Amino acid sequence: MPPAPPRILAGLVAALVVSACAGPDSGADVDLPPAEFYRGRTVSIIVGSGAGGGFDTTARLVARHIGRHIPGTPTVIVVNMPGGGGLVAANHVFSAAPKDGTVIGLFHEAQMMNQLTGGEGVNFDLRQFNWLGSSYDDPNVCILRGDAPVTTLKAMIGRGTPIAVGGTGPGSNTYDAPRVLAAATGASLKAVSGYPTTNDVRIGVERGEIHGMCLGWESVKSASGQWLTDGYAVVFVQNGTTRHGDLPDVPLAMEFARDEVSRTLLRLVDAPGAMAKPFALPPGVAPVRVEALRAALAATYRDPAFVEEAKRMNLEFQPKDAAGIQRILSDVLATPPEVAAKYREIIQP
Amino acid sequence: MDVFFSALLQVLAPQTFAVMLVGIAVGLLVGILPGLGGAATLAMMLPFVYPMDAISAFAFLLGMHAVTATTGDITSVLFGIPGEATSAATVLDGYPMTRRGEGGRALGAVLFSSLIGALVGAAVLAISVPVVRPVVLQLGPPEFLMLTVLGLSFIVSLSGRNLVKGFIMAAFGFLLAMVGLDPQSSIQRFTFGQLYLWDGINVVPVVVGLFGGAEVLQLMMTKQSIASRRGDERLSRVFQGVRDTLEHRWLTLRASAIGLGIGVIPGMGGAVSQFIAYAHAQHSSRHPETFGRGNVEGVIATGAVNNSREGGNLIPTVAFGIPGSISMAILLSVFLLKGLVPGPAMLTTHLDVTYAMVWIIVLSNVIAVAVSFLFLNQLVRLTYVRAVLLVPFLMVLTAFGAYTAHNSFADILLMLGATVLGVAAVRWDWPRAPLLLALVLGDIAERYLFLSYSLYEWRWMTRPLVLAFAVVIAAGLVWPLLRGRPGAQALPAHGADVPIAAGFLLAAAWVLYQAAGWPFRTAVFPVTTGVLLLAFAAARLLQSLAGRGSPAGLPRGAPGPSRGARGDAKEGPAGPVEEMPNGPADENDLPDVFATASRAEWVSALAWMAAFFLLLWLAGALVAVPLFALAYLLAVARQSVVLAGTYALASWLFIYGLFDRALRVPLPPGVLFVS
Repeated sequence: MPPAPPRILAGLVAALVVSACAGPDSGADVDLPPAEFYRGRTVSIIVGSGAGGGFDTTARLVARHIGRHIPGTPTVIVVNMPGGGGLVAANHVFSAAPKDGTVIGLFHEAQMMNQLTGGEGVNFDLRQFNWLGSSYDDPNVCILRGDAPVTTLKAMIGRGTPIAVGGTGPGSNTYDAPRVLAAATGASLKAVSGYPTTNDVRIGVERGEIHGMCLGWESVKSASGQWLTDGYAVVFVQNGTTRHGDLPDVPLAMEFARDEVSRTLLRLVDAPGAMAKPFALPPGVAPVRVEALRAALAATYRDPAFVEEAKRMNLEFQPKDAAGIQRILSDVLATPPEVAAKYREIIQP
Repeated sequence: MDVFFSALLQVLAPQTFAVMLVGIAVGLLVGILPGLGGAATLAMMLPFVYPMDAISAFAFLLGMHAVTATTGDITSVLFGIPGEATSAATVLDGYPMTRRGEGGRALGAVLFSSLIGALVGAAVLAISVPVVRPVVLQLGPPEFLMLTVLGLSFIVSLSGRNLVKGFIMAAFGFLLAMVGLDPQSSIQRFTFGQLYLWDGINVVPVVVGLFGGAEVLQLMMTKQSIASRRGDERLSRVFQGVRDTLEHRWLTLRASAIGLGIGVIPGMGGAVSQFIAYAHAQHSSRHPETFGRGNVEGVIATGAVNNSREGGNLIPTVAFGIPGSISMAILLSVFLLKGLVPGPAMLTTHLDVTYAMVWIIVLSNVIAVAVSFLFLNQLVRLTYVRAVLLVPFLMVLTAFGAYTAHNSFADILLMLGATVLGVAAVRWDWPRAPLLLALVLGDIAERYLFLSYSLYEWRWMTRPLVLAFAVVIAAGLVWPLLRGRPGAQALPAHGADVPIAAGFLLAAAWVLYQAAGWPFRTAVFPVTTGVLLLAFAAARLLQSLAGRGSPAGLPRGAPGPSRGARGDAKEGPAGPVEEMPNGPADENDLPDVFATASRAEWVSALAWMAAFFLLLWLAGALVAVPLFALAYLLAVARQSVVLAGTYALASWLFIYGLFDRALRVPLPPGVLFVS
């Protein structure tokens, strides 16, 4: 058989050029009313993690309902784009994704700490996204097995042998929160990192090689609620600024902070949780479409069918709107550089 | 016992059973189609279970999931293209059997052993759920570490006839596993500043390229059928595979036990168990030298392990509510959705659900295997078709298969890189399996070593189970020596081994240079591996420089047996193929196309492949696939316009209708169309 006749390859190229010229006409329809623009289109929600995790679950749940509330009722699909704890997805949505309002991002709110501490690979400014709203208000808490040597933060401060809590690694709440907690309060806590996922941390707690773990209160409730009901584990500290309604008797880490800088550090480590699982449009989307999608997300969160389904999945949404998200972001990103540097130093292994 | 059988009746209730059949059908489809992982499908199908009761929901999802593991092996056997990482080891012996015209036998063996594996997994699930908790809790990070070391010790047997080459490939695979952010320090290792590489090298594109990509290229050059000669098409060949499985029943059971054991442990990953079972099969075989060249034992072990693992995976999910894999995490959300609390309650109040799951695994596997048997002959016939007709289809298999990893075109580039590696490995006799094994085990080994150290410092070594594992590993390494297996004959020497070894030498030096600035914990694994690679590559370099004169290469170990004096026969005509219970001992039955192809054939095949992927990158799947099919069938396969047009149209309907519209699988969009 002779090599491919050049004619055919040339034909391929020609066909390609023709088809490229006949490409979609995005951009030309900015003036269309949203109902006409979205009719028959597909909106993708780009999730910064793989199938099956908490972000993916939230994205798919919202995707099943939000279509009804967007003018023109487009089809809504979920596309997984895992990598770098949401970094890949955030970069993609910020610059590469189409800016016509057909791509929504859902990536890790903890990227704000990455931007603050000047992490590598951050090619976005979170403040410039067109935020649609966040899903949960998820304060960070730490739990311990009931049979741990001590089970109160007070008893931990200044103690000799550290209490071991497990985590995945730097950049994750499971690791950063106990590090900051220890540094800010003097509690004798040791963060063991290297577990592949939070599920592996949980089983480490069951095996008894670690005494507990720190993570968002919503995750504790949905994945380890039984532990608390059975008295197998207790919440010994919460890292927010005010005591959570569910946890009136659990002390705030703030109450034990050593000084003002420590208080700021604790506020920082808890800040992302207040706008957990936020949806965003890229910068530069036409304002009318941004507004349409903001209204759609808000309506979704109120939709009884949505709420009912979320409840069956043990999820309770406490959304924040765009203004609320912007407030948190500008607050965190205005942290003085020396405090940011201190934070970075603490979470270094 | 009553509960056990009433659970069966619940599963057999018409509505539940019907739902299960739908799940099985979806699973069969997904298992064969590329571009859809089992986990992604489960996530997509989740909404459908909201209105169902708990048992129907599991019948649907678990039925689907159980079947995916079985059918994923089919493309591995028939086309040498594994659908997912957990089907990779099936390629090693399944595909050579197909090339030899024994596709039916291989499929029969893989399906039947899958069935046995599933049954074993389900049985153990039923028995062990009450008692498994304390056992699983005995195994912590130090034991996981020893398990990976056990896996790594199999590199020796997977290396085939040249241990040094095997070690080099393994060291290289280990280094590939180090790519990405160090989980401990978040320092980038070997990422070249590419964000794509931060999360490390995904196994799926590597597997698809290393095996599938290389095979497609080979087919483009031979232009013959996949099966090099027409085998016996009667169904009896399939039953030969069934008989093989029964004959090797102890191997089937041992492989099932391996799958179960590793499946029970959360955090080990599926691909690991398949390679360990495969290596074990080779280890315990009477004909270890025929592995990788179509030994049915390799096929049986890899089939059995996959399906027993599913039962094993379910155990921690049911007993602790802690999922061992992504698929199990999705199933776990069904538990929550249906108000079931995993843990002790699954053995008391919800025992019926637990037993229903056992029955679902059993029934869905039996049905899936029975259905597959009905279609086996049609499937096997595909391998007698002229390969050029399959090329556009296989090209799609490789591209979409790789693309599932991150839905990024970089996945496809990685796959193409692995293809180059795979072609080189086939052409110059470098074993591929050690590389893959090291890639799947590398980061687990590093992770659990540091985790063990953080938890226990060096005291982890004194844990009783760790010591027990150490004994098993040592015994496994010493056993072959004691058994006095005749030394493998040396590989033919290749002139290319000199530049390849030199390349590895340079790579090792570069690794050491890169790692010089890293903190201890980040550097220790890459540096150790780099030093080993340096040493092995240097050894191989000396070996090949010294052996250049003699065509038989450097004889190594004990003197070769009677068929040792083959010399350079690789270039010669294919020898006669004898029927042997464990596959022929003659490796020359598979013509080495890469060695014999003319320059024109190389240029043509590479140009077409490049054209396809370039087109895919520029114009996306919906344009590239039909256009390529049309052009390729006209120009290379010399088909009529009608046939080529029909093929192209069908391929477009297939990916647009099924993938884009019905299943909503993300497809490469094409840079020209993304504004």
